Amino acid sequence: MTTSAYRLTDPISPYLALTRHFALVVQMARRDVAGRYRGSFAGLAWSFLNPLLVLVVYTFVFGVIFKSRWNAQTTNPFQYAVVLFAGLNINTFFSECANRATTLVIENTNFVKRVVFPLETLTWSTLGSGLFHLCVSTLVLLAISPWVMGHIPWTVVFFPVVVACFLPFVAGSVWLLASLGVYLRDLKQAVGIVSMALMFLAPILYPATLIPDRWRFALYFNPLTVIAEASQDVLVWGRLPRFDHLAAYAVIASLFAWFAFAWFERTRKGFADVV
Amino acid sequence: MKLMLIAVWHYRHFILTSIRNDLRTRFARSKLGATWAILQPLTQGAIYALVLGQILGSRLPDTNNKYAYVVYLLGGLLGWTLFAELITRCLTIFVDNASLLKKMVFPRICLPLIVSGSCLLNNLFLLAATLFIFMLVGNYPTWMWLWLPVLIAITLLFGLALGLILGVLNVFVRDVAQVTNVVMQLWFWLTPIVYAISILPGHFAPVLRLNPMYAICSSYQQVLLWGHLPHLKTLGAIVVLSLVLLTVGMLLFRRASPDMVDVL
Repeated sequence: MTTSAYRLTDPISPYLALTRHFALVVQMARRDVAGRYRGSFAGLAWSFLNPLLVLVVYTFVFGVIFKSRWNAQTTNPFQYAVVLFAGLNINTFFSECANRATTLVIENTNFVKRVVFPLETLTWSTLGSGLFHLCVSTLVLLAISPWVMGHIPWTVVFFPVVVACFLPFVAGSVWLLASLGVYLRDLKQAVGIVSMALMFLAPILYPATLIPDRWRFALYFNPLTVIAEASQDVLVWGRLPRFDHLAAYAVIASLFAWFAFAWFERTRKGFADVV
Repeated sequence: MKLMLIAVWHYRHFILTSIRNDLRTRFARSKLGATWAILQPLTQGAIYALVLGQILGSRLPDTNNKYAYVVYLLGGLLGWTLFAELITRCLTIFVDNASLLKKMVFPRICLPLIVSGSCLLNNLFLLAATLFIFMLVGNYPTWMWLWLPVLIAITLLFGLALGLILGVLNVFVRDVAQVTNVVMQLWFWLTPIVYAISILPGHFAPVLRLNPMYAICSSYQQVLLWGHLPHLKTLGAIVVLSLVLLTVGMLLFRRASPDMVDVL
């Protein structure tokens, strides 16, 4: 029986998987980013054009056609799209990583069967490539902020903190889904549906105040809610994020990541028999 | 053209077995099998109904059915799902089957036919599930429902024609796939599926009526919810448009076919 290379009782073991193999993770993430648009003429420019086009679509559809407004006072047709985009990027980051996770092990059969490879680092490189796209999208958002909101809020400096609180949750999801994905082949479809549901059931398309007081607490069972609200706060409204919410979130997310990492390490010895 | 049809006829068993295999692998590999083809659009419908139903549903004209919005939504999604699945699968049809194209000699025109067959089958499952839900919410069949096969055929023709062009272009310019993905998002929102066209500000409605998917999806809604005739004139125009697109697609395909394997 192979035992894990980590002390699984240690809550920081998930992060050791990153620090021990940091160079490898960076290398894999870079390869993943470069590979996605391989063969197209615009190439890497697509990672920038894609979020820009999505933003244009949402501005046009919700701002101009539907005349959706985040709050009743504003007459600015672009504000809604910017708020939407700030939350949408969080959902895209999560759903991209979760979607990749379901086939992460199956796609890397060679690493499972032929060589001694730190499989657990695949999670961090998936996150790395997702983070790259999140950064590009956020830059697109900040680049248009001066036109829409008049300025770039200084609270942007807290955005890395918000993302840092989110990472353990995403990493944990990727480990859990990667392990389960080996055994349950239709997990990919299920993840697609769940991440769509998470987006609509979080205050991304509508403000939380739209939900009656009695039911609003239910939104917070959605793992995207706290992070989406925080990133709208720091990127658009220029408000400090709710640090109490973020701290509670970070604690729960870390516990989840710890559990998911231990689960992955425990189940990985069975992978070679299945793939 | 005639040679192509003869070739397709000779390979009809290949096409049919491929469709069957496509379905079978999906049943064999996963626990829920082809039900995912139904579950995905149905959950989409459920979420839209839950989130948007309160806001947009109350503004549907001429109905007294409590579940009118659900019927409206599922009716439109039925047409849209078939179209979107055709486009997304045709888009990468040659790229995805690169190894098959390189190794085997067979008329390449079989590939789009296999995809159409398997999309159609998926859509029929979804249709069955949708009609079952309609019964549950008390939207009973009318004679107008007999128009459904015609609507499905038109959607299939339009999706296939456009998909074929995009699929051929995507072999040579991979950027087509990126643009199409964004355009499909825009297109979904510009088609009155989750909302009624009457909620739009005045000057947008006439522009939106030029959208072929508007005519198709609203015909589904007319037939299923209101029991009205579909927009026959517009649908006729779409058939003509699809045939033109299909001809363009076939010409492109014939021109590109010899070079395809080298580029893949």
